[in-house]
Amino acid sequence: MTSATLTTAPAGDAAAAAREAAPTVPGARGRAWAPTLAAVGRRLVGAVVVLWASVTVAFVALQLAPGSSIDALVPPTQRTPEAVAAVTAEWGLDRPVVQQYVDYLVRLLHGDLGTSYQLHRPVTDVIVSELGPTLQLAAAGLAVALVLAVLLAVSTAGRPWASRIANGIELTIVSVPEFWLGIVLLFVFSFSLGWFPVAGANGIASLVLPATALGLGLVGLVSQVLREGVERSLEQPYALSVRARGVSETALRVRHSLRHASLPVVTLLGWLVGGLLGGVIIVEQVFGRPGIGVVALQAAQGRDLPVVLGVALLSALVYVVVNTVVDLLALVIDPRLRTGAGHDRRARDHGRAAVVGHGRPPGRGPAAGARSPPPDAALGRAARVRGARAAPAGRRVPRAVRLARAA
Amino acid sequence: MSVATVRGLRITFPGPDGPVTAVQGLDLDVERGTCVAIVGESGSGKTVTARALAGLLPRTATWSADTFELAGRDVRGADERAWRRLRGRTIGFVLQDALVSLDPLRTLGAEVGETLRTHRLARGRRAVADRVHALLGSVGVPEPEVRARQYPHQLSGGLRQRGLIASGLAGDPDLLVADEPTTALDVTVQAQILDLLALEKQRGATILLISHDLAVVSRIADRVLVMRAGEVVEQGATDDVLRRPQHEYTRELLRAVPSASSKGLRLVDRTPLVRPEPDRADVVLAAEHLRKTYRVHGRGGASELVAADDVSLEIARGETLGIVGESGSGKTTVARIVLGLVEPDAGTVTPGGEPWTGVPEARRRHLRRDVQLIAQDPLGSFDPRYTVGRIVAESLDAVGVRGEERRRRVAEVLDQVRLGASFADRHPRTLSGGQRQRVSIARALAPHPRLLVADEPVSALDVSVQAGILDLLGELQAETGTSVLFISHDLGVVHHVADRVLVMTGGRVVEQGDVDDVFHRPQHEYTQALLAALPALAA
Repeated sequence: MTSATLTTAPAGDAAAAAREAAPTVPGARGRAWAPTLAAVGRRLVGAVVVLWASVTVAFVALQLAPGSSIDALVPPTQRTPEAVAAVTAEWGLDRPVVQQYVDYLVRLLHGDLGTSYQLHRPVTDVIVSELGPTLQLAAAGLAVALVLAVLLAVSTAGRPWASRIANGIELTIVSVPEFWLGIVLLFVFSFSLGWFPVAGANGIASLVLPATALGLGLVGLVSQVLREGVERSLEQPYALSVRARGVSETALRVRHSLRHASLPVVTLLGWLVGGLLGGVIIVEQVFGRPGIGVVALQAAQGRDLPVVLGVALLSALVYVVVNTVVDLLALVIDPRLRTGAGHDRRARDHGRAAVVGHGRPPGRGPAAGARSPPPDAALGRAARVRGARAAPAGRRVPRAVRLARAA
Repeated sequence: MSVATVRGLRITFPGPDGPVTAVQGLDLDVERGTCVAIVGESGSGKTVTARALAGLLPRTATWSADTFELAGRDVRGADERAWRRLRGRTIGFVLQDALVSLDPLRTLGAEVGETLRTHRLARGRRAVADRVHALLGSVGVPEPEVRARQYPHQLSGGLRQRGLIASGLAGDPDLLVADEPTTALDVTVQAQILDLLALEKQRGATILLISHDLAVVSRIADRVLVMRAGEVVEQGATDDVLRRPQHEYTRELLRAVPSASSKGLRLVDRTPLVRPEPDRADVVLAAEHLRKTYRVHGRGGASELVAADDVSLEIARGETLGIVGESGSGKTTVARIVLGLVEPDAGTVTPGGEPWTGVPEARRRHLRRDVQLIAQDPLGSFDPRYTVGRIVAESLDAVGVRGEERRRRVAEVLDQVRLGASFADRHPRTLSGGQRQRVSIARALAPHPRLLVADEPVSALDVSVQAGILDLLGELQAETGTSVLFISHDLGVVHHVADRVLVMTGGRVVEQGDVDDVFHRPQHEYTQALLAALPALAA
């Protein structure tokens, strides 16, 4: 009966078989560009909206803040009515706020971020010249955080005592403010040991302490998320398969579990970059480094509207870029998210669920084997069958829980 | 020569009240070139035994043995390094459900090649790839070069299982341990995998098969060990054990398997269970020309999947209508349409002559009490914070039964499903699988429905528990005269319970009629293929 069953294509597998055949059919991928293009278009529109919103919010916030721009523009010693009037006219501060806002947006569209009230240089120049050291610091800080977190998580996951100790260390570091950490590092390694320069941004040596101070603040959270992911992955059946092949524990963790665990970290990356941006301002102050942080701080204190708006625009841009990178990284890590041009919500949800270890992966559809639907769906279905109007309050999943599950 | 020799294996786990014994004094011999099967229900210790053979017991377990030799080597004192050298080379291990047993983020080729790379059986990218393709080809994976680059979710269940077997065989192990290798596969795919294992045995592989399914075991095993609660109750040549069982438990297990010959009998003790003849004049629910399509997004963009195509059915009062089909056949879609959870694209459903499809929910809500669901996974359909009493009462709230009357009815149905009113205060977590399914049945039964839709109600249960649930359903039907739409992938179960049957594949009904006619004299070639693939117990 071997050939009989082999040739009678089981209908249940027909859909899966068709999918399997797909990559061998030339042109099957050809039609995929249309949805991809649509996805890119949606993303661009989203980016523009985010940029506009962030500039607007920063503008409104500065208008609402106490004090006036005149104070920053005209030193008190030279404050004559004539000087004030001249400056007001020069900067257009006498025009209605709405007019100022619209003017700013129009200039923005032409790529003109305006001129700094305080520095009397174009904002674009200011940002570009200060961006280098900040990017170096942020990248180094992120690298410190990721490397330490990976080492901590991979070496301690699933080992009760080691995890407990690592957990304690992580929580301690998370609760220590960056400036304090920075001062301690400075005191020990610069003042006492003299290993690293006290201030400035000259070469690698001057980057070590600030990057450590910045990175340590993020290590705790990243390694907690990573460790949980590695532990969850180690409990999955495929981990047993891998062990059964004679693979060492370290290889299992590095080759298999780390990849699974990195998915939630990637989604966290947006938040991490936020943490970095906040941390940069403080760390640059503590270590006397030049950079965007210092510029932003001085601009906010001096109500230097063009610079503040420029920095706001920059950070919004960073968020947009980071989130795009996050989505692309997720596609690289998890092949299950790639089907359906990456914008099929259902597929993505399934993918996430499958990462956590339950639920059906995408593209599998009703084609093969799995006979149990996701538990929540079963619950809702059961309630509807009985004629329940909506899910009773008691069983509605709180938003926080849903978010936590999705994360 | 014996590949594995085990004497007096004892495995314990720590429990809240001291150590719990999972395996008690197990003796096992696997001769080279044979297939030995361990059969048992959940909790029998069969899976733990399999994992002990690969040195993969959970960290918390402790074990001891008088003799534990693999390929002539005493491994009682083996440390983790020594075990790593054995795994993959001496012992190949194949788990159940290849979807979760293959790393979803890696290609099939990477997974199969991992054994080769770990044990340095092939050096260089090219050599590994060649070996992987040869291995995949030998286990019957078509186009191995293409499949090796694909991910588990892009492959069918059958191909995944073949890939998993290839990864277990990659190191040419002395013993291949296969833990439930065909569970969760469709009947026809299961038959193919069993054929593959038989082929590997012919090629000289030694196999230890772990299964809950006596029929599967009977196809390839030379010897069988029957386990219960950590002990081997009976062992011997497969034919002897299955045809002339000596132990009462083995007999009980064999009796519990539903089939054509068990029709009209209770599975637990094979006493007659008489149901009144269905009243053909009283149609409880009729469905005509149902059609439902879903949009699916794949690599080639969106396409249409026809989940149900021109499906018509009629259920008479007191009748059990079975729907059989493999996964993707559309049987669950039909169930959801009948339950009013999914609106069909075309076609009508009329319970008791009233319109059910294409009307607003408010107009049909009063009809919902007539059609109730028994789900496959009862725990998933229970609110974990509710007590059993509240779970059952829920279905009465919806039809406006309250207060004392509701309490009385809850106690009544809990008695009816042979649980007793005392269960009302328990939480579903504390119940066994069979008890949960009884609660689910009680909840469905509470509002006096005219039709019960049972979607794979016993698929997740052990065979002896399944026997109890199927007996209960039959008895309840005899007592209350309710009709049942019984959906299952298991032909034996459907043959046992149903009066009439619909055979579905690819969303279409290919054959229907009296269950004995369809299963004994199948007309359609698909039904014939299904029945041929069924691993039947030599009765």
